[in-house]
Amino acid sequence: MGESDIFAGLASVLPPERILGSEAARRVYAHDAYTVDRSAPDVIVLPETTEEAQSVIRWCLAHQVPFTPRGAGTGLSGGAMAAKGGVILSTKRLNRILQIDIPNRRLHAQAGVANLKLSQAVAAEGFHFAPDPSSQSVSTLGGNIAENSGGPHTLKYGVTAPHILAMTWIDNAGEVRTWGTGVEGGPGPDLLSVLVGSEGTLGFVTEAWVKLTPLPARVETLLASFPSVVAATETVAEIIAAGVIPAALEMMDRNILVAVQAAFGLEVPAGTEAMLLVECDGSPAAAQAEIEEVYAICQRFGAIELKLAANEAERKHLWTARKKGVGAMGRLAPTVVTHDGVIPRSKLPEMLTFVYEVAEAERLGVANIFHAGDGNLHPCFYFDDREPGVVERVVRAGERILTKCIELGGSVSGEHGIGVEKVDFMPLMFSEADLALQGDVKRMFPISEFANPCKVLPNLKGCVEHQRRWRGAAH
Amino acid sequence: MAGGGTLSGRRLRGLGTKQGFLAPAVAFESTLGEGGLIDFSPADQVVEVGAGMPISELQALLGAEGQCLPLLDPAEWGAAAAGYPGTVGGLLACNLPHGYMASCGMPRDWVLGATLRRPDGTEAKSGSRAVKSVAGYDAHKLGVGAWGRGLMYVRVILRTYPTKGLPAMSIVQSAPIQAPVFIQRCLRSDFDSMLRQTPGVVAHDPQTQVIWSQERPATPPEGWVIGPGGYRARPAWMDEAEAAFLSTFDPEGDWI
Repeated sequence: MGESDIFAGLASVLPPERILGSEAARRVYAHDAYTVDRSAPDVIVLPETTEEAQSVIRWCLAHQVPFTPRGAGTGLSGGAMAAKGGVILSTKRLNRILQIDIPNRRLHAQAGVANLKLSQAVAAEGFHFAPDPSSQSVSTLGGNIAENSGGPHTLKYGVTAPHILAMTWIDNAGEVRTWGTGVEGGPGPDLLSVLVGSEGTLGFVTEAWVKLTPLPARVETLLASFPSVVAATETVAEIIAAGVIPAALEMMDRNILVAVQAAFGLEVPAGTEAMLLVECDGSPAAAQAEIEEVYAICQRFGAIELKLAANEAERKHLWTARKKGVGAMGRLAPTVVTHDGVIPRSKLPEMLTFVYEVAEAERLGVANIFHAGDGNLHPCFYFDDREPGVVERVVRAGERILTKCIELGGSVSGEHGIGVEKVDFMPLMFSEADLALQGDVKRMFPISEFANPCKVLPNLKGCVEHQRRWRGAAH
Repeated sequence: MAGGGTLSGRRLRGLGTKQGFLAPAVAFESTLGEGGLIDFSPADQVVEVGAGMPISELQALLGAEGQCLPLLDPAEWGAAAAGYPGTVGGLLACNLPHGYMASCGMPRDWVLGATLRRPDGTEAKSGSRAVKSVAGYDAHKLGVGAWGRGLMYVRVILRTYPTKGLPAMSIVQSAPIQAPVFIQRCLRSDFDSMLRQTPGVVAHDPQTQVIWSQERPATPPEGWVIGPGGYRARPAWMDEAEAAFLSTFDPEGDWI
């Protein structure tokens, strides 16, 4: 079915002004924040209600047109790419907070509401939505659910799944379901936990009830500078081994710091090769005791400088490098590809050494800014994609790093998902029997080859030939 | 509403501490053969064990390194101690409320990976030793709350907690607990009223709105009840989810 037929068909179920089909729009929606692979949709639709989204999905299923959900497009594995073209089902207009229930510490919102808006809506009442991906000012609730997103405070508060109480979603047969209640747990297999993190392949989430977490009474933030990456990673291991669970434990290496220094004037003491940002929270006494212990460990492992935030303004300043690090990397090179792998955290020193060796061997710039406490690495390769052969080297470097993550007992994705980017890595981590188990997880729900095709599992029907079209289409 | 299986089929059984929460069965399949420590990395706060390992054995092993699973001592807390003193597999399969739930979450949140066995004997693994991962579908969470149906935990990778960091727990005990009991969970806004109208309350947790009682409570307006002999009161979506799960993983009803 051609683009104009799809446009005309969808105009029968949605007001035409909420269907985009211009060349410019199709180009913008051809990829998410993972830009190496690209595949343009035929049209983009912007439903405002669950019913409208259901009408679109039913139309697509009836006419065998592929459809792919998309939030803010901040995903880093091509999960929102229209792998077989067709329709992008955007949550951009599903942007209303529907109900705030403070007595029961929960909030009901549509899937397109930005993560940060959820917290802002209840901050005055002393609550927040705990998952805080770095993209939180734009990334959406629906996207966070799809990727089971983490963030700097995942270490203490967990990823998205434990914060989702209930969801309204449209399955891949076009039926609306509401699963979950305001009360967690209960007698029955926990399929809600499987739906969260399924990368939008098992259904399209339109609304969710999220858990609200009280804001901590006290937050202590420490920025520690180290003379070597090894000293910083060993400090991380020691903090965890000492039984301290900070709210956040983040690391930045020298190349990130150079970029942040240039962009935002962050002061970096001479001789700094890595910085740790550590945050402890809770009751005033507990937060104080924990940060003192962390402070002492940092000193013991040779920190050059330790800065403790005295107030909220200083705390925000100390977070500058971490929050704006990836953005500042634009100063280093025209293109940045952020990888995402995770390992048992005691393996951090070995893993980081390996990352630097790979970058050198592949003649790539690399900067590391990541969730050290979770063992979740984000090596950012920076390069000029006009240079012949460089994309191949970046892809190869990524493969070597992810293979090493698996070797060390970790995973090919900590929080960015498999999307289209890592589909071919799944057999490295999982055997045929393991993948068959995952295939059966998918088969618990209605399946359609037109619903968000070619994501998560390898060798899905008709995807190999499409992959040839989109792979490396940035060129 | 009664439920919990029929007299045909086999029942997975570890130490049998939670069998009272299920309807009677005549044939059992022991999970105790799958025990033993596979790997413990105190620095990572991650342990991998055979799912038949008794929780008491695991706690002793973790305690030697200043770590634990955040569960109460059963001598003092009875059923509020959740899976303790059963097995690791039983802890996950039953996913019962426990004393540190407000601060440490549910057993669901501790399982990082697992090797799972189906009724036909085939095994597969899911997850990893990393503390977070989005690599495919989280099959290792599927058996959580399934009460031993569909998928059996064979080996599990769990997150552990430092003993010294455990916060004060918030359970209020009003009478000695003798398992099994009725366990209900309700909304915060319904908690006071449910607490008042539930007969024979033996313990309650105002932080997580869980009430343990010797007698059957009314069904909360929003929430669920687990009780002896397979008594269950739960929202309709759980029936739908369980039907989807069982028709895929145990269509013959081999495990009850």
